[in-house]
Amino acid sequence: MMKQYTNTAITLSQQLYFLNAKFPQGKGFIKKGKLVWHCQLDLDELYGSYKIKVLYDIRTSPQVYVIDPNLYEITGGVEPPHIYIFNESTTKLCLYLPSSDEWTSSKFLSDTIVPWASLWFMYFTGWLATGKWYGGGEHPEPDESFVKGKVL
Amino acid sequence: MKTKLYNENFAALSTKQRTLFTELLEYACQSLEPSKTKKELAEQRYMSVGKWLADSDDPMFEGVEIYPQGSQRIGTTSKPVFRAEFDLDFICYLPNAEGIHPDICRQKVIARIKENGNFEDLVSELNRGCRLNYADEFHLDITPGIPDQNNANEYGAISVPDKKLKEWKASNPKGYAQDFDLIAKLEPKYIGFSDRMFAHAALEAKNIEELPKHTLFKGILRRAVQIMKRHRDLLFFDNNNYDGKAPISIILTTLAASAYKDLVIQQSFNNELEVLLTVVESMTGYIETKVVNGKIEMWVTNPKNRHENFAEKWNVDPKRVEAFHYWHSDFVEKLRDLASVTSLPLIKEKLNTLLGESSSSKAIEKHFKVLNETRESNNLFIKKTGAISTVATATPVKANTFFGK
Repeated sequence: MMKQYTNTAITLSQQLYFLNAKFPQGKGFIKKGKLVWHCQLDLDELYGSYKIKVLYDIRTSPQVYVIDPNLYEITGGVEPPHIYIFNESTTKLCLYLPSSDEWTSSKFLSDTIVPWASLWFMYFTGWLATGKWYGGGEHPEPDESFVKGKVL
Repeated sequence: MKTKLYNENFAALSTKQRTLFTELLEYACQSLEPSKTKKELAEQRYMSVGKWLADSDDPMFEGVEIYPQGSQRIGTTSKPVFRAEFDLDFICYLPNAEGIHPDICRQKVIARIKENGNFEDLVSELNRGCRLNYADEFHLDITPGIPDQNNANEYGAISVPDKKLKEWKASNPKGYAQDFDLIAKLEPKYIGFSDRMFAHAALEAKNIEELPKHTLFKGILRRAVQIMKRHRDLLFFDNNNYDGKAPISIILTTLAASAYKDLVIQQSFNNELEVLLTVVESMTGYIETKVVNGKIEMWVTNPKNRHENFAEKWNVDPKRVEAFHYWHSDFVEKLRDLASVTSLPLIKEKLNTLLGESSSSKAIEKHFKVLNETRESNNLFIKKTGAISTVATATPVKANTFFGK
């Protein structure tokens, strides 16, 4: 999803500064106009610990990957709700409503994407426990090919 | 008193973890109770039965009172396993039925209830009284009672038909309940906390008592009893080895209350979970041994009638004693197991074996409902570690909508 580049956008170096200031265990760099940031999120023992990777350049939406643990192995391949990519090697989270102003390039990743990832993990453990997603959210309209392929 | 169960298994856990267990057990217990609507409906229904009996021209019904007894009176109801109807017990007190044969009395009560077209099809006869069966809601079990015939000389004492209905037998559900309420109101002393004030409403002296109104947090004794009963129901459900031998509720309730009463007076606790575990561990110490007619008997004495042994059947049926200890050691084992796990999915699994799938799911659901209320009111924050907390930090969690399939 492309985002409009505007003057209000926060620069990548500012983003990185605040990510590291707010989450000192995180490490990242900016290369060729792209921010890469790795961070361990230690939730309460009830919800576990996770390593995430955030990829971001000002013109695109931030992407959040779960690096460790391998959620695909944990769930035995059953896909949890609110996920973009889910397979043996990649888990990419959906944390906000695209084309809303929940995320814009004038917001800090450290104030939005990172707390939302932690929140996602809390609901993920709830989902693991009971099979229900307690975090709410929206599901995209199934696209046409999916509807067509459906056995009615 | 022993506190092994707490010290060896729970004391080393973080405060947060222990608070979580208390919270989840509390939510699970809430799910075992009839809903507010169901409670109100039950109240309306028994009051209308009471009114119908009171409206009779038969002098036997003059001054009739219907009042709740048993678990719903003392606030320890536990939803039956795999059945929708709660069992709610009532005494139909007939101050002017003295001198009547117990079975005639019972039959007259049934006949009068059946005269009302609204009740007729719901009534079935029970040994000691009758049952009104409201499908999918509850069973109202009504036992007639008359003024004390057995010189019990105590507040609340009445007489009820014995099982064979040949004579009137001493009973005192009101006195028992009053005693239990007093014990449940004893607040445990917590290390580092001063005594908290405990508000409670006095029972209203109405002819037809209102169902007790329970506050949100019912106190650890009531919760302990509910958890025990629930675990018992699950453990003995479909258990051929102990068919019909499971420890009866009044035994669990009485032992728990006796242990609680002594413990809260004698010692201080770190938290509510420790109270619960110490009660569980100590309760077996309240089974007495008495020599009766040269024979050694096991007794769980009715605190309001020292001649009544709630464990009477244990002395003629050793399988029941075995069943009690089987229950108790399994219960202790499962509580120990609960302390051995820290992640939510595993806690859920352990709660399943302790309290059943539906109660544990509801407990987890409620846990997240509370989290979501905090989330919606924008009172969640993130710590530097990445943990979400209600303790304010520099970074509040902003509103978001999870998206994607």
